[in-house]
This record gives sequence, structure tokens and C-alpha cells, in this order.
Amino acid sequence: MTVRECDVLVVGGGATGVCAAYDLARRGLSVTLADMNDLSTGTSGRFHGLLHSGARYAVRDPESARECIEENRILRRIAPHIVEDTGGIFAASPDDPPDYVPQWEAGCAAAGIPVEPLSAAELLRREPALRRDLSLAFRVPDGAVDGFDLGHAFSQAAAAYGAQILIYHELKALTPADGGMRATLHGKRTGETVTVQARWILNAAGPWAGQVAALAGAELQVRWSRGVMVAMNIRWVNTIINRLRPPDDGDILVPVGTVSVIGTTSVQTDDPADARIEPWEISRMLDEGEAIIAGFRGARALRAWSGVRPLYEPPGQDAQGREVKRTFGVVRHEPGLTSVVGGKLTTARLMAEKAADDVCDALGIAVACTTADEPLPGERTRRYHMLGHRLQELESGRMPGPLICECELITRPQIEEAIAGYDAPPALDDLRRDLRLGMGPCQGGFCAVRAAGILRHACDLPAGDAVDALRRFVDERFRGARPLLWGQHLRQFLLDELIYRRILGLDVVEESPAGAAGELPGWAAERSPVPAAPDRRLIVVGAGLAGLMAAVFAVQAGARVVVVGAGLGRLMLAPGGVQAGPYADHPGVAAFRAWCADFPALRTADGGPLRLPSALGIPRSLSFAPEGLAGGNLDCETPALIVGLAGWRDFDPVLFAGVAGLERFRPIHVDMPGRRGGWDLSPTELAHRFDAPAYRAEVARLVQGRLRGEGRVGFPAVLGLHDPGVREDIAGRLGAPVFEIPTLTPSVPGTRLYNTLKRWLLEHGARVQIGHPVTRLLDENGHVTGVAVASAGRETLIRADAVILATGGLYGGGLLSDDRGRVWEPIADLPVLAQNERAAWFRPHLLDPRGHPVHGFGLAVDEQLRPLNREGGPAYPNLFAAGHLLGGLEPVAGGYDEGLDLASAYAAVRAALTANRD
Amino acid sequence: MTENGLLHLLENTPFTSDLCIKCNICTAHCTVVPHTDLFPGPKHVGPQAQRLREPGAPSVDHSVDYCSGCGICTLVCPHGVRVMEINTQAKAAMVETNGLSLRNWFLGRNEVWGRLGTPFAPVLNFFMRRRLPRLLAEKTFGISARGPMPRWAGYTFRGWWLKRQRARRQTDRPPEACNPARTVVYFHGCATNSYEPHVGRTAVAVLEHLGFDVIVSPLRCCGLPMQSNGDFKAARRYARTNVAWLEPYARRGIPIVGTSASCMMAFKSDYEHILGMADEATRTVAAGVWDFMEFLRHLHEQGRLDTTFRPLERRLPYHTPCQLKAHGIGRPALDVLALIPGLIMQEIDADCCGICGTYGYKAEKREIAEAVGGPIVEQVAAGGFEQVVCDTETCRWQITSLTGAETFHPVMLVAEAYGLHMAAVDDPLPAGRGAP
Repeated sequence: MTVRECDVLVVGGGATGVCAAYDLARRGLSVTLADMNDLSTGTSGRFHGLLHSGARYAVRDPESARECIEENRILRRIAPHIVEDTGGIFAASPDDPPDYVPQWEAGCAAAGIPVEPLSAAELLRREPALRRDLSLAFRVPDGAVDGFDLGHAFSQAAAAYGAQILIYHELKALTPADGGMRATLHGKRTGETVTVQARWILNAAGPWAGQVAALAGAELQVRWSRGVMVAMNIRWVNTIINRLRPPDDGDILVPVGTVSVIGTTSVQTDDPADARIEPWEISRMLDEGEAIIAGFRGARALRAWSGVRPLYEPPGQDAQGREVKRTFGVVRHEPGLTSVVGGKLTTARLMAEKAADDVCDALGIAVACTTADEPLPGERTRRYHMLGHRLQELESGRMPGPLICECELITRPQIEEAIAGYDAPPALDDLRRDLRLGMGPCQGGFCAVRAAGILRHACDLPAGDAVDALRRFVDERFRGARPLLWGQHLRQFLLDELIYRRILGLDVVEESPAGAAGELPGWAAERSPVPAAPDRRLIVVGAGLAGLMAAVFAVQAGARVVVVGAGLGRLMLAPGGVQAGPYADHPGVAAFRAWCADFPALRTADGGPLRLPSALGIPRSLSFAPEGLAGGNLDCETPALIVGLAGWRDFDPVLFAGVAGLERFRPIHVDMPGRRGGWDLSPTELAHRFDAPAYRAEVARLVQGRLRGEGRVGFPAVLGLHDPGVREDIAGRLGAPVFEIPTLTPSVPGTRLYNTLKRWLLEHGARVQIGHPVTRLLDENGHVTGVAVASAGRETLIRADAVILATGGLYGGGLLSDDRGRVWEPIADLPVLAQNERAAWFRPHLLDPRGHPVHGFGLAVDEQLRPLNREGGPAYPNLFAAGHLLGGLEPVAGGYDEGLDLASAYAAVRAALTANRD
Repeated sequence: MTENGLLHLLENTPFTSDLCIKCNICTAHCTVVPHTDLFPGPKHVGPQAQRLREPGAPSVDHSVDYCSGCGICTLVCPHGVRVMEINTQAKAAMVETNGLSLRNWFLGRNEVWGRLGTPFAPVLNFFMRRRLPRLLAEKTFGISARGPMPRWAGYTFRGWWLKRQRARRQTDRPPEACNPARTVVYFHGCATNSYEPHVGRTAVAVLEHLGFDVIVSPLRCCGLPMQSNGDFKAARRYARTNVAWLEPYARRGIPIVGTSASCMMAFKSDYEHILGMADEATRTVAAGVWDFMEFLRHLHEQGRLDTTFRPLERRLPYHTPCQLKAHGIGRPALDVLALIPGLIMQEIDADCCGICGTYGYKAEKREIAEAVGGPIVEQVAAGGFEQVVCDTETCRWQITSLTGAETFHPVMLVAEAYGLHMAAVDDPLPAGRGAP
């Protein structure tokens, strides 16, 4: 047991606690600060980042307003490096109460808050995203401050004056002893008990202040009010935006680093640790954001969190929520304890000053506060403003190495340096906090697996441990994002999920044959071939596997086909190979395989199903695969050399071999010949290089010297994009068969398939037009007659005898969704099979082998694959659907992603070319 | 960037970076990425970097300069990110920070050099096809000696038009005096004006054959060469002049047609989504502009196109310029040419020819531009073709210089099939050829 002695023990490492520790230490007292977690992990780290000018309180709470503007100025003076001088704007719309503005201006004047009117033109110039009706605007000296930066700055300053900081130490008991107080602390990470003998205790425990007071037998009334904040994916505004109206929910939008934060709600709670985020709170924030920026609701929300405000209520008052004044109280409890409670982050220094005054008074020390007088001592690195900084570092060459986190721009050496700072192997989540790894839009989809490889290498972990670390990180990221999965962020997670499942195989818990899922839909029963249909005009909407193969089947039948794709489909992302599941013997699947046979790069290996390794060496079942991938068959006993390219971020042979089995798979790295590539060396770019004979000859030469009689050699799937002979060429040079292993997206096998499909279609007279979405169907007398495309300038109409929708599901964009749980089909507003309760869309774990309810959302169709209308009949006699747009199925859990696309494409073409032939 | 507010923020070019989910499909299809390490790819310099760019602050990233602007990234993006448009705006921010190089200023003013050079055509055509002066220009100026130099025609299309109007005692009618059903405004563009006036004359001949009164807009560069070099100030000046002149015609429902798909794309989309001109007049013009072949297809759909074509027994390859793909109108040239008996067109599978306006004329980028055009060279050679059909000028010059094939606008075939080309176009000139 350790015993420490000091003058004052500060309980709580939030903003007030660290400021008080600094204040008391400056006055010459010996100070210990203890927090049960890390610094700023409570309320101070869970707010929106606004350094108030005070204008928000100018009308209702003039005292707070005055305190805010004074403290705002002091903080900019003493700690300029933690304040981002964004400035603030208060803006009113014509709907806001008109009498509020003069009151507010008078309040600001009385509080001494400088207010500068902005013309509508100037406002528009500064903030083009704001709603035009927010035209009555004023500039105020708001600022942005990061709670973690503030905590670090003041705790470092306190430490410079000799204060001791104890994080992860929870206060367990407070007893009067030896003329002072004795505090018993439990070290949560060390397991040790620490006793602090202090002359006085300063209780700055925020929401837990009542509990701390109770340990000393004192009573302190703290009300808790929970507020939810939502961080939007990008910086929609560059200035803090406040609504110029009486303070309410969601009327502040704060740009912080790469994101912008909207807050907050105010909900009474009886739990100081309440971290709930209710769906209505998220929707409320979006509603309010929509009132500031038109279209806000459609923007991406990246993270949400909630914080608990400790509101101080002096005895005798009985106000609620926002009614409780945001001033603070300093309360002395005998013997030996002072509590400071209430207030806000902006006034933390002032609260600390008043509390320290009380402590000094109690201890009979007459030293005045000087924290407002000079800047904080010590190092002053401006850490806060990340926007642009990393981009500049990267461009200037000061951040060498491959880019691992593409969203927040983090390179391999930075991750290695961060890992080196830990004694024991850190969790990937620790690296996230250190570097913002996985905090950007993709939420770890790409960087997590790369970082797991780096962690394995740096800490010499067994491969299985690195994969476990990856699984944990994936789970944690998903837990944080789950309340926000709709619209574009949902599409992001469906992509991430595809990477985790199909490419990495992280969902495979135990080997189970693919396609265990049950009954086939009615349309799949018909097995007759597509009839010849010369000159029938067919439009296929969508350029994924279903759309392009539908076009192929139709062209083979003699139809005139136009493919219209808003962009490229999921085909580019899947790892190659076909999961057909129960559709394995459908004629569409067979017809695809037969079509592939004409192209050396696509030709599939005989037989099936196959057990092929994922990018992490985890076995995954496929019905069949191109010869290049099939060579990696895990049922084949032949030992293999696994080749990685040194410095390339998207394939780690050591991790692969460690998982797949070192007794059969031996990993090596060879240097990449020639150009090293930029920061983002994608698989397709590398594949282009292999197209050049000299390049692959050099790689083969490097590998050849390292072969030790292995009967096959595995490379990441980058062996040529246009030249189908690359693999055979390398195999010839090595004297051993060569196979490919899937990599992160974009997938080279998928890109080869797309390129081949497109070339074939053009050569056979079909049109493939990519880049502009179909916005609506054209119809006459209940028949579809064509589609309208949102082309540049105005829409373009295309006519046809039948239309097949292969626009994809929620990932592909064939279905859209919003925060209220609405799921819709945007082209024809066809009814969608979906659940409206957003909380039910996903199971708690992203990698659940049973998949998620959201995978089953889609259109209901009849046996001719015609989408049903609301009455249950076909919506049009000549409109058909195919691919992942179909609902009520389980392509992920059932293991028939490609099987569904191919079978339904074939069946839809058959139906489209058969229907209504006059 | 936005001059006038857009109604919906997600449509505002820089904000479309919100939609990016990092799938890297754009990088996989980027035409430049495979050929240089100096360009980190459209996703990186586009939505990824955009999220980290501070509005109003000096530009910090300059690798975006290697974006050719072909726009394939925007087309393949399944999520609606305007990748190329973001990149072009970033180039403008770069120019604001670093200034515009003399070379890029020069390349952006193709219109001026075209006009000024016309009287000196024989001399210029002689010198610009000699190795020494081209090498000199490369060394001193940074303009590639291999860039396909067009040939000055020695007269301008605009000059020819005015002369013809004078001879016929006619003047172009103001919009209110036009019959919208049978009037067309023809926008000829700078290249037609100075280098390929025969394309303009053929277009006029076809329109008049179809019974239209043709009005020729006064020559103003569309602004695209300046825009793609980041000189937004100059580009907007031209854009505003064009919009002001064209808008009254567009408002009257008089179609504005052009034989240069890239100029037409500037009107239809770039003015709003790159230059940030989100006003009603610009949108009215955008909605009233037609690519020439698109307009013919439209007439056909309405039953107004004369389809009494003479057979042309030929098999020809067709390259869809990246700029035309960006229109989102499909392949109107193929649709119209399919009406000509005997003519079989084969679409070349290529994203871009590599020239991208002025990109392929820059010495440091010429090698990339040539590599990007590789698939066209392969397919033209494989088919043994000696002629190629293509809708934009610089693409035609590039294809000719890469393949040696004669390259011409599809309107030439239409005119030929109408039997017009000998009568109405007395001196058809071959498309420009690269320096020897």
C-alpha cells in the first residue's frame, strides 16, 4: 500500500479538476489529482467542443454570459494553443421570435460581448452551406476547444508546478484523519490501493460530485441532464453556428477538426454514467441541423455520443433542464471537503479559482489566484487543428511510408511509432485514440486489417492474436456506429461488412459448407432457357454482376440492350469466385460459367465446391472460382510459398500463412521492383504493373531464388489486369503453378470480370453507359416504355420494350434509407420488404454468422421476377428485377451472393424476352 | 467556390465528398494512375483530401495537378461523388496560392492564338511541324514537342460565316425574332473556328438541309481550357459572357447545338458544378444545349430527321470522348450513324484518349497522355482501321497522332450520306496531324 501526502487532493480529472490542480499548485500548495478513468473522459470529453462567447446566455442568464466572455478571453490568452479561433455566428430565420433579437443584442451589450452584424452576402460568402433564410446574422467571439487538449494542457501545467496526477484511481473512502482527510484510492490498472493523506479535499467530480460528497458524509444535490451530440462526417461549416433564439435542443453546430458536431439534447436522467443514445435524439439533432443547413438530414453522421451535465441546484430551487442556470456553486462541507459543481467547460478556470479560494480560506492560506495572469508553462504544441495539417505533411514528404488509414491520413511509420510507446501490445482501439486510426468515414473498414498486420509484426504476435485483435476492433467500431446506420453510412458498413466477411473471412467461426440456407424462391424453379428474341429492345438498369450478366444473356438471345449504370457495381469489390449456394445448378449460374470459359483470365477450375483461403488465410467455401484463385485450394496438400511485396499495405503473407498453417504455407517478402508507388498503391495499380513483361520477370526472378521446392506459389491477386497470361508466365518462370489470394478492394479479379464483360458487350453491339442514374420509368397505359436518365443539363429518355432493374440493394443504391427507418426504392417507388424499426436492422455483432435482417430488405416479386405493387400484383407487365434488389432473401448468411445475381439475371431476362410478345 | 447558393448542400461539389465510402473504384478506373507515381489517385486527391482542405486557407496539396480531368472517376463512382469536379476546384485553389504558370496561361488561351495565328497559317503550319521549333518550345515553355499540333486553316469559321451572311444580305436574328421550331443556334467553339472550319461549315450545311435557320454565336471560348488549368477567374469571365448571350435564345426554346462535345459539357455541367455558377440563367442555358449528334437523334425520335441517306459501305471505329460520356446521353453518334445503310460502327473500348484538352500538351505529362491512349492504338491497329470517328477536336488530333489514322467528326458522315459534302463543303481539310 502506497501512502502519499499532500495539501490538497483534487478528486476528478475533468476540466475543473485539472484547472483547480493547476491553480492550487501555482499558489504553492502540494496537490494530488485523482480520476477513476483517464483525464477528460466524463463530461469534459463528451461535449461539442464549444468555447462560449456567452452570447447564448445573454438573455436568460446574464451572470453566465459575463463569466463566459471573460473566461473566453482569459483562455485565449493563457492557452492559445488549445483554442481554435473559428469565431461564432448567431443567425435567425424569419420564423424565429422577432422580439428575441433586440433583447439578445441588449444582453450581449450588457455582458460586454462584442457583436458584429453580418450582411446576408457576407454570411453567404463565409458559410455557403447555411440556409438562405438564416439571413439575420451576427458574429461573436465563440471558439472551438477540444476537451482532451484542455485536460492535457492544464494537467501538464499543474505537473510543471509539482502536482501529482493519478489516472485510473477510483476514490473508495474518505475519512477524517490526522487533522485532515485520508482518501483511499483503488488503482484500476495496477490493482494497488493508494492512500492519500491530504489537509483538504477538493471535490470536482462533476456528475459524481454527490457520490464523492457522500463518502465524506455530506449531502450535495446534483441534477443530471444528458445531452446527445452527433459528429457529422465532414466540416459543413467553418464557423460555429448558433441559432439566434432562446436556447433549445440542437441549435449549435461546431466545426471540430475534420468533422462538425451538432448538439445537444437535454434529458433528465438518474444515472451519472448515462451514455444512452435514443433514436429520437439522433433524429431530433438531424431535424435541427436541417433547419440550419438544407439537406443536412441526408448528410452522413459518423459518431454519436452523450454526456451528462452536472447541474447544480442550490437548496430551495426547483428548476428543470435548461431552466437550471449554468452558473456554478462552491460548497464547503465540514470537515475537510469543498465541492465545486455546475458550470460549464468555458468557465472551468473560474470555477477552479473560486473553489481554490475556498480551499485556501479553509486552510488559512492567503495567496491570490494567478492563473489568469500568464500563459500556461511548458510545451505548447498546437495539436488541435488537424485539418489540412496531415495532408500537407504527406504531400511534403515529411510523412513517408504507405498510407494505412486513408481517411485520417495515418502512415505505417506513425503506427509503428505509436506501438513502440507501449510496454505491452496495445489494442487497436488504443491506436485509434492515439492517432485517430479508424475514426474517419470508413470506420476501420480498410485500415483495421492493415494495422493488425503491423501490430503482429511490431509486437511479434501470433497470427491468431492479431486476427482476434482485429475482430475486437471491428466489433467496437460497429457498436459505436450502429445507432447511425442509415443512408450513406449504412452503405459504408455494408462495404466494410463485405470486406470483413467475403475478403477477410472474419465471420467464419467454424467451417460450414456454403449454401446451407433453405428454400429457393418461386422464380428459381423454372429451368427453361432464354428464348431467342431478335430485335427486342431491353434496358438493364445497373452495372453490377446481375445487370451486366443480364445484358449478356439478352444479347446472346439477340436482343438490343442498353445498360445504364449510375456507377459501377459491387462486382468491383467482391473477391472473385462464385458463391452460388442453393442456386448452384440454376441455368443462369451454368450459363455464366460457360461464358467465362472463353476468357483465360475468367475460366473457372473444374468441379467444385472449393475451400479457398481468404486474404487472412481463413477457409471460405466457394461454388467455383477462376483457375487463378482455385489454385489456392486448402484441401490440396501441396506446400505453398506465399509471396508478399515488401511495403505493400494490402497483403501480409506472414499473417496469411500464420492463419492458414505454417506447416504448409511459407511466407516471404520480396522487394517491389521499380517505382514504389504513391501513398495509396491500390491492387489494380499493382496489377497494371504486372501487365508489363519486364516487371513480372523481375518479380519472378526475386521469388525464384527463394523457392525451396514448394509445389505451388501464392501471390496476392494482382497478377495482371489486361494481360490474361501473367500468371502462366510467372508459373513458367518459377516452374511451379501460381495462384492468387484475394486482397482488399478494389478487387483485381472483379475488375477483370467487369472489363471483360464491358468489352464483350461493346463488341456485340450493346450499349454500356455508366455515370448517370435512372431517375424514373416512362410508362404508357400501364406498360413501361423506357427510362429517364439524369444526364447533364436535363434528362435524357431511352425507350425499350422491357426494363430490368438490377440496381442493387442497400449497398448498391437500388434502395435508399433514412434515419427514421424508412427504406424506399427511388426509381419507381416500388414497395419494399423492410422493417421500419431501425434498431432491428442489425444484430448486436457485425460478424454474426446469421447475417442481419437488413440483408433481406428488397423488392417482393412474382414468379416472373416482376416487382409487386402495393396490391400484391405485378407493378407493370414488362418491368423485372434482378440481383440484390430482390428482398426476402439471405445472400450473406446463405452464402449465395453471386448465385442470386446470376440466377435472377437469367430468370429476369427469360421473363423479359418472353412477356407480352404481340 | 459557389457564387450563388445551391438549394441543396449535398449537390455542392466539394460537399459530395461526404458520400465517399473509399471503395476505390475510381482509383481502379483512373486513366492516369497506372502510368505515374506522381498522381496518388482520384480518391486521394478528391474526396479524401477534400475532407481535410480548409476553405479559404492556402492550398497545401499539389499532386492534384496530375489529374487529367477526364472525369472517368465521376462516372464510375456509384455514390455520386463529383470526384473530377472536386479535383478541378482544388487545382484552382492551387493556382490561387501559387499563381498560374506562363505555360498554363498560354495553353488556356487557345482561342486567342487560333485567331491571331490565322493570317500566318502557312508560316505557322510550316514551323509547328518542324522538330527544332517544337523542341525549343518544349525546352523553354514546357509545351511538349510531341503534342498534336493542329493546322491553322488560314481562315476562320466565324469569318466565313459573316462573309456568307453579308453575301446573302442576312444578319443573325435576335432571339425574339426567331421561330423556335425552325431555328438553331450553332456554337462552333475555338477549334472549329481556327483549325477545322470545315466541321462548322458541314454542321451548318446539315442543319440547313434539315430546314433550320442557323444562327452562329459570336466566338467566345467556352472557358474550358482556362478552367482545366485552374484559371477560374478568366473561365468565369468567358462563361458569363456566353451565358448572357445564349440565355435569351435558350429561354425562347431555341436549341443551342455544338460540334464540340467538351464545350457543350462546359455549358451543361461545368459552369455550375465546377465554376460554381448556380444561377437560373446558367441552368436555362444548360438545359437548352445539345451535342450536335444528340440533337440529330432527338429530331429522329420526333420523326423530324430526314433519313434518306445514301448507303456508305464502310466499317469504322468510333471513340466516345470522355467528355461526351460525361453528358450521360449514351452514344448519339452511333444511334444516328446506325440509320445510314451499309455503315457499321464499332465502339472502341477506351475510357479516354489521354489528351484531355491541354493536359497532353504539357511536356511533363505527354508520356502519360500517350500511355492513356494505348487501348485506342491497340484496337485501331487490331481492326486495321485507317479512319476513326470521334466527336471532339483535341481527341481527334491525339488519335491521329497516336494511330496515324485520319480522324473526323461524325457529322462528316451524316453530310456525306446526305450527299452534301461536295456541294456545301468545298474544301474539306484533313484533321490535324501531330508533329513529325
